[in-house]
Amino acid sequence: MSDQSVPMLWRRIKNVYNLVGRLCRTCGTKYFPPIPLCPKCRRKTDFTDYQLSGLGKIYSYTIIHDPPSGFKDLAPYVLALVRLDEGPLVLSQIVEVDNDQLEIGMSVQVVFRRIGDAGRTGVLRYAYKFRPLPEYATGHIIASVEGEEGVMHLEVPMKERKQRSVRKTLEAAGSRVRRRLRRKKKQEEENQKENKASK
Amino acid sequence: MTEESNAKERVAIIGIGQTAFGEQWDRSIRRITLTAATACLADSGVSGDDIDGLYVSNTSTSSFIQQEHQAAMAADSGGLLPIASTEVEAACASGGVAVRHGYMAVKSGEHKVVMVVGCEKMSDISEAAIADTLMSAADREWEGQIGATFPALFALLACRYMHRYGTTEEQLAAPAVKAHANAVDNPYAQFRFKINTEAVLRSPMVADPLRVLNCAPISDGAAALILCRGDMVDKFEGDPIWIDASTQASDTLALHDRPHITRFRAVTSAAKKAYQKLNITPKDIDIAEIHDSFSISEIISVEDLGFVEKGKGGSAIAEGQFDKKSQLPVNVSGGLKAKGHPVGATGIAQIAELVEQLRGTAGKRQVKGVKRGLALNLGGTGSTAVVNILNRS
Repeated sequence: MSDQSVPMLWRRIKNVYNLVGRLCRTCGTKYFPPIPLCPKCRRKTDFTDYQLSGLGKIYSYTIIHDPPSGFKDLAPYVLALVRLDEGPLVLSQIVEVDNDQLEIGMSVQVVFRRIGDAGRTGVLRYAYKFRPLPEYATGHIIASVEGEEGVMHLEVPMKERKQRSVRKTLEAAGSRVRRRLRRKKKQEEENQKENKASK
Repeated sequence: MTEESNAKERVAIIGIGQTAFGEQWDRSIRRITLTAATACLADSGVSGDDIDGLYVSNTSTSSFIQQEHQAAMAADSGGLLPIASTEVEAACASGGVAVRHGYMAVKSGEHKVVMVVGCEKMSDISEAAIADTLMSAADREWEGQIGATFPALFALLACRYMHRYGTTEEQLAAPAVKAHANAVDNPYAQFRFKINTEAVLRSPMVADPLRVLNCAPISDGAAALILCRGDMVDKFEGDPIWIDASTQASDTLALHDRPHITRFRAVTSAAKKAYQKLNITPKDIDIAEIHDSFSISEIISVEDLGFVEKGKGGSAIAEGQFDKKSQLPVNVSGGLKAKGHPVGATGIAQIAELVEQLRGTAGKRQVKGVKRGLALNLGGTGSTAVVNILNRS
């Protein structure tokens, strides 16, 4: 069903474009989709936005042969519950996958894709889908790394991955970016000092 | 407590009525609702003037026939004005929940004689539109908009369940094979023919691993009950069957918000409440009607109701543990799979079947010596579960 009005899509853009969930600061639980209340803490809920890494494993899957309107062109397509590394389950389509290789436990990563067709309202929708990682993936590893500097999105060409595990590759990439950021910050501070000195 | 005051606090079902289930191109929703209601009045000997409350269960008339306000429509077309009429919607569990509301209305003393009628007219729109409408029972925003269909959500349950417990596709076919075998003897059933496991496994795939014959059909139909206060049963002709417990529980609307998807928490919770209330165990149930909208839902439900150990539901059904001639027959009516599933009427038809069985008037499909029956009606992907336990005395 693709008959969504613009406001229905617009109010979810932050969450569905970038996989932004919620963190309850009271109990530490992370949620996706961004529910309005932490069921564990209820009125003590203290939510803040939380950027999910987009990495996870297939928890359960199905191949849809009888698609709903708005998805006719895609069928048969794969729909799965993905257990994100941070804990939440997310329902998503799985793309760029060989259906024979599908299995529970398969590592997947988030990608940004168009969802369904424009339907009667003519509104195109974009959101998350997931694709296999790492053995089957063809492109880049895309992930988000959280650090003191905030969240950074990383793309690592597959050829750089070599024999290392995905996690290690990302960690290495993450520390590279952090080092770069620290250097940049240091340089900025030095520049500022120089500016002051020159004044 | 004296016997009289005890009876006053009980609720009896004194009448049942239903239409045949199936595609009824020539009949409107007004017509099928009235047919079931009229049959129900005739069965109970109650006149329209005796009824002081009406509960109408319905799932999605706004989408199926672009008509809301079924409560007023039923009161109107039944000639019952100005009766208090209430519509109850809980997706596929609408019927069971409506029975519970009728039960509570009578038990509270606010109403004396209540009619509960469920109806659904699904065949007026295209199959694609029906499928979209059924998806409204789950999470439209975070499931439907991603490309999920209602069968696909149950397929996700099935996939995980089979992975965890090693259930085979043959076992997954068993509830459907059993349902069709039972429906042969049910004059109200949509499919009165047998199928075998091979037929299920050959049928087209809907959402892996669920095939067409693992899924309940699209049906039109209505079913009705008359409930009355226990101390008044002698005033009417109907053979009373008693509602001993009516319990209900909820779970998350979406599958992804649940800690595990190989069980229905709401079923366990509602069943536990009902057993505790009556101080009985699952072993005390003689017959059951269980929501088998998809084969996997019956397999998980027989476990969560406590009828069989967790993970053994598929093999138990395949081995005949819930066949008509077993200790605890399940879905002697043919279930949703073969009797038909006019969504809003389903929960009420389940109770009507149990009433016939407990009265001993079920004809060819009668199970001998049954005293206590349980009906489980599910809404969405198990987001609502309602358990009704009926008793012969």
